[in-house]
Amino acid sequence: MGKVYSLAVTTLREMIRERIFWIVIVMAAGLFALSFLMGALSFAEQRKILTDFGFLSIQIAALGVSLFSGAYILAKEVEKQTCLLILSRPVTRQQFILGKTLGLLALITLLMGALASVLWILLGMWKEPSMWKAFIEICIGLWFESVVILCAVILFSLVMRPVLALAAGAVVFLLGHWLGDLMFFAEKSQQESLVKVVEALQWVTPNLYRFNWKSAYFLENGISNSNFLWMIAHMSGWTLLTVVVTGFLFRRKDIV
Amino acid sequence: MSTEAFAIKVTKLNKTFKGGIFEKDRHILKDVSFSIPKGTTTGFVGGNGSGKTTSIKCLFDFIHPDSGTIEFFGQPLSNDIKTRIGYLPERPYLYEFLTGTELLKLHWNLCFGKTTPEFYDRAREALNKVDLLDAKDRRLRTYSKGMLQRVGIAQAIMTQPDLLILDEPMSGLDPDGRLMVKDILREEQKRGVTLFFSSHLLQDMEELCSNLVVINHGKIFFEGQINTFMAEYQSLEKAFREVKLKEGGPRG
Repeated sequence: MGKVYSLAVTTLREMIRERIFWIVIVMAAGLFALSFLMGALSFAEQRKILTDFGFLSIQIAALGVSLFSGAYILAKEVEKQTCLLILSRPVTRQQFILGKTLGLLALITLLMGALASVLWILLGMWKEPSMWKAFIEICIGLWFESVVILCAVILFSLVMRPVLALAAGAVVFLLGHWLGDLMFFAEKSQQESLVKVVEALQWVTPNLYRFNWKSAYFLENGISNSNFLWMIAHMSGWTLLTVVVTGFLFRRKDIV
Repeated sequence: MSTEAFAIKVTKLNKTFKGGIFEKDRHILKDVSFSIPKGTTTGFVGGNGSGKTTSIKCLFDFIHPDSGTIEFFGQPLSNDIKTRIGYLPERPYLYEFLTGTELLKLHWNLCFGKTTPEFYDRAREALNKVDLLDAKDRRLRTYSKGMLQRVGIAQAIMTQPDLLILDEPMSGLDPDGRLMVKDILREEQKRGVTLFFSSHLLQDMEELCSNLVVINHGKIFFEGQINTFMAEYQSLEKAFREVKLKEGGPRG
């Protein structure tokens, strides 16, 4: 475990020392400022705008880091051959993948933790303990979403160019969010073949639309425990599956 | 000789890279076999594209051979075996966001799982050998090409391995740097380390190696003592030129 930890810490250090990470932070801070400004312009909906924009900023920042870092983390190692020295040590390829992935997970956790803390302060959450549970659950939902996208992009980057892996990750994200709408339109069209296609897509795509909890409604009314547990199980399943497949593919890969 | 007498024993290694739709498959390694006796220094010579780097990458399973076997100290490659090997790839691309000390610490932790007090002495000793003590806290991004090569050598020797595998360890170094690397390799020889390194610089081979493995177009056509090779061809450089012309010649 010490080896995986060392790789994870090194990956985290690498990402924090990258300029792009700080650009994402500045962009997220800009979105927060914008939401605060827009909230101030509104009479009755200040809190709703701030909540919606705030969680959206966290989602965009985490998604940006997942897509960009996930697409390039392994591709860069293979292309620059920096992984050769690491793999010449008593480290298996699975440990290497795990270390890299955990390093990025730590980065996303730090990023989201920092942004969520800012949002917590902006919303004055300390005055409303009844909303703490829902706030944390929404953040955890967003965290899992970015983790699933990250793991999917890392997997894609092993079989295609980084830029295509990034695009494929974005497609998975969009498809995951549009599955509900697609099913609605498929049922409305009454074409059985279309319904079957969307049903098939639901099996091969993370159902992100079911856990899109970032509106003020969920903050004020809470999320049911069963929904929350179902989200954790669904997202953990996808994460585990993609990490295992990535490990399998990387083990077979020739590092030329 | 028993298999334990060899630090490396490679038998009938084959590797073909699949071509694209309009490209032919490339048969890079053709029944490559050689052995490196323990405690010797062996040079691995061949022209560009002859299969040197591919062979070395196969040793570590970076490239999976289609057939053949590789043994280190009589055993297949494993984590235990890897702790006994120091490696420097061709043009060592290192994590440039790390400092020299951080790089060594990472490699120590990957070998032993944690940073033990012994690390600090070993890291200092290795950095001192490659004359990088003053630059140990600078990011690798600010190192020159020669300094990167030297810090790469420091990570390879820091764990005091039984076997050092170096791919072009002197490439890109100025005369001072080459001299320093040669001195380090001589020190490792005195420590009883088995050295296996590839180089285009044939003069370095003559200075350092007792044995030689020559590869051309993916085939080994000489394996043995450097003196035997020299007796036949007088100068290694001349020999290499002649040998290159004789594709598939007899093994020495």
